[in-house]
Amino acid sequence: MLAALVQSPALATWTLALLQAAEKGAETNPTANPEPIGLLRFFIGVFLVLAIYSGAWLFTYWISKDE
Amino acid sequence: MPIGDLDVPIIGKNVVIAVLVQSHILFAAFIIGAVLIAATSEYLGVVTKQPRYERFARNLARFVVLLFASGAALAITFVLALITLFPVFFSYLQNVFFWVFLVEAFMFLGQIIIVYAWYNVWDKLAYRKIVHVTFGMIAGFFGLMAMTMIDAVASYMLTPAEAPVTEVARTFLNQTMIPLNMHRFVGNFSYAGFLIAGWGAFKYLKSTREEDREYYDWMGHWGLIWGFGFLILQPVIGYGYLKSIRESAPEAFDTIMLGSKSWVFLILMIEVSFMTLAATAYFVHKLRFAVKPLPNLRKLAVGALGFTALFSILNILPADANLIPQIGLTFGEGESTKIPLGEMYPYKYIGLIGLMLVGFFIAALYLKATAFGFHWGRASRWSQYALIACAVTVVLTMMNMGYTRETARRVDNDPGYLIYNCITLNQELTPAESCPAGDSLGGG
Repeated sequence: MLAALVQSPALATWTLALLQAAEKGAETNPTANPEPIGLLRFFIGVFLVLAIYSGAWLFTYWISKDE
Repeated sequence: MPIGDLDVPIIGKNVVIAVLVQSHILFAAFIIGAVLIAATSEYLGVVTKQPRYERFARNLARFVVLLFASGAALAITFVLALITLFPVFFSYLQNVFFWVFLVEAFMFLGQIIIVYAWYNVWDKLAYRKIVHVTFGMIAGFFGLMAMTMIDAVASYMLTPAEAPVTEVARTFLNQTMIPLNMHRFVGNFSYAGFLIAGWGAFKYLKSTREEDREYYDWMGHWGLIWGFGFLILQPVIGYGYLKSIRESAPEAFDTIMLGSKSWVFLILMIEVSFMTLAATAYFVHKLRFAVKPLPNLRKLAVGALGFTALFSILNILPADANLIPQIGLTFGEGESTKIPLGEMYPYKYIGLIGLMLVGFFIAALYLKATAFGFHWGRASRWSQYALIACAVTVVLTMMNMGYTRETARRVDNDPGYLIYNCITLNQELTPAESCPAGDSLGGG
């Protein structure tokens, strides 16, 4: 399922559109993040925070649920 | 630079720090809030003789003890990453705030010792409950003090005092330190309260025994009282914090409130409005199950829900069509296309004050009904989904606010700062004239 999602044309189109929009934003506004990599890093950061946070909660729940 | 400038592949070193700090704060804030809520609940159990308070306090304390390791591990990893990836900046920070970091470390140690002791002597002090409650309160106090120390550092990074760094009091009590500390103090309770409510709702939906359904229904209500009760204080305290940023770092204020990053604040207001609406809808629903029927109170609560929606709209309308310029999300003429009722003054202020006043009103109505009690265990599934949605939203709110505060120092990215106007993101010192602390911190 994950492989299908990664290979889906819709995801590629959406990602390309996002990166192009980021470039356009960078040209028109000086405070915009100048490189599309910034956007990618932003979303990776959000994902990692949520992954670490929910992972720790789930682990704590798992080790204590039978008490 | 005399030592190697390390970077992290793909995600970059800024994201590493952001991820570690953000994850740590999500645990730390919960632990501080939860310890104080649990200790207060334990005390209420002593006073009211209702066993559910004791059950709640003890379970929450156990969960805090188990969760503590995750928060502490992230804190240590964060410090390690900061030393490795930002050695020059960290050296300056450690020099300026040596005593603050030292006190913070001991407060952290004290918190660990007392939290574990508090949980472990639960049975031993079963007949000396006030002593035991005091243990919990002291653990909470240590947590608050640790937070206060780190707030001095965090606030200084955005608003360095206009004094040499050797002036300890002015450096510690810089312009935004007290407002930030108040904002986070209140936020801890609100955040932990919403999470507890969400957890109670989740367990309620999974429970089949009548006794458990009653308990978890009550737990959702109890968490929401803390979450919503402290949330409605935030417009005033948050405004005080923003006012202090505007006075000390106007460019940073303009960036996050009026400029190209104002979308972060609009998202924040969407999140706050959503939590307020969901909580108010829960209260309206809950009033149906009041032990003493209160039809007038319920009608007033429905009216309050309408006003909440109205003030929420005022808060979430953008000022212009330049929505998120960073990804090219603009309409019409961008900044010159103004959206009616979207301006900060007076509409956002009316919206914020309105939300707070209506919040106080509905909280007062609900507390009045609570005094007579509710029939527990009869709540609808939708009311529990509202609590779970509040819990998810409060996590996103915390992340959004953390990003907002840190991104404020970037202003136009030319350059972005680690300590505003003093040390750049590339760890270079600015000329002494531009740094508020002068040549005590600037390049000289």
